[in-house]
Amino acid sequence: MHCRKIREWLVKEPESLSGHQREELSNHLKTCDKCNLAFQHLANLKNEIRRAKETSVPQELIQDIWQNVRLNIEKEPILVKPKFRSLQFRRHPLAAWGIPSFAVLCILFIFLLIKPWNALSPENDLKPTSLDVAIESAQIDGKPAQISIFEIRNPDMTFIWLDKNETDNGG
Amino acid sequence: MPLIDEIGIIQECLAGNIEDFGILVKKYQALLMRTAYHFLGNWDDAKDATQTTFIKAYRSLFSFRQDRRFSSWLCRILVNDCLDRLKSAHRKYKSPMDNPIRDKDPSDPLSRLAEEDLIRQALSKLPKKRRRAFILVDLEGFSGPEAAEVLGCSESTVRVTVMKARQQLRKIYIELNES
Repeated sequence: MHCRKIREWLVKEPESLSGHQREELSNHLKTCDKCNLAFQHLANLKNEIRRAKETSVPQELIQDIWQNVRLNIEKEPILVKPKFRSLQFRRHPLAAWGIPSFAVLCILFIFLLIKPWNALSPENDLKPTSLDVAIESAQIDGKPAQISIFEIRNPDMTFIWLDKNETDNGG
Repeated sequence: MPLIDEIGIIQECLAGNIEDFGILVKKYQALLMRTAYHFLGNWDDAKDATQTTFIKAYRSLFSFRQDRRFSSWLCRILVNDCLDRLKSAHRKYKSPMDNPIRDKDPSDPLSRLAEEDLIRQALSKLPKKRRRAFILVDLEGFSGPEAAEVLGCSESTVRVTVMKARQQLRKIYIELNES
């Protein structure tokens, strides 16, 4: 358990350790071979990183880089600035999401403005709409009568209403 | 390295003068090669990645924002290319069991190779973001603002990422040595 705590301190930046922790660490390293070995490994790592930093590029490898690059870019030498640049969602997230959202809102607003509210009501779909009313006068059995023809849509139906005058006008 | 007018050269390249691009290639080829080597682990792949980076950079030179550093822009292309290569090839470094560590003698070249290999293994086990930050800052010596420009994040994010990368690398390195 103690070694585990020491390992945690070992991997931390030395500056982040308190004086007490440093003291405890150095005392532990004197007595624990395993942790001392880990400390040695870290010293090796530090040296290796320093060496890696000083890595120099073999000169024979970089001699022909420009020649190779040139051969490739000569095949496609034209640098054309594109007329339309795609929206860069990462660079301008506000514009990239805001503009399409605003456009959608505008379309929705125009749609709602054009389509009247009552036309959107679901009840309206079930309400029959009367189209034409034709009223004809006729004589049935020598008596005056009135025929009314109603045409209804939704559902499509035609009603014929016969209004017979039963009163005897002749006396 | 003498100071050169990079913006002027880029303008010339945009006007169609290919030869001017050679000045930029010669200026940055060593930096890119070394960075690619740290990512890929061998010089042949590093050279290939460097050449691809210059070709990609030339073809998209119009998109370079001239208020930015050209070196950072190039490095960004290179880092992405290296990570793509690693991803597509599923490169795995040899396990330490295949390559037993000998007693560490700095003068022994085989011991040195084993040590280098172990560091590469440890590096390859780091998460992508931490590896990028660690290589740029600790191995390539990029400053905080430069690394932030390459990685596309803030300077403080770079600082924290590098610190976490160092800690994780130490932990992995000890584990690899003990395994």
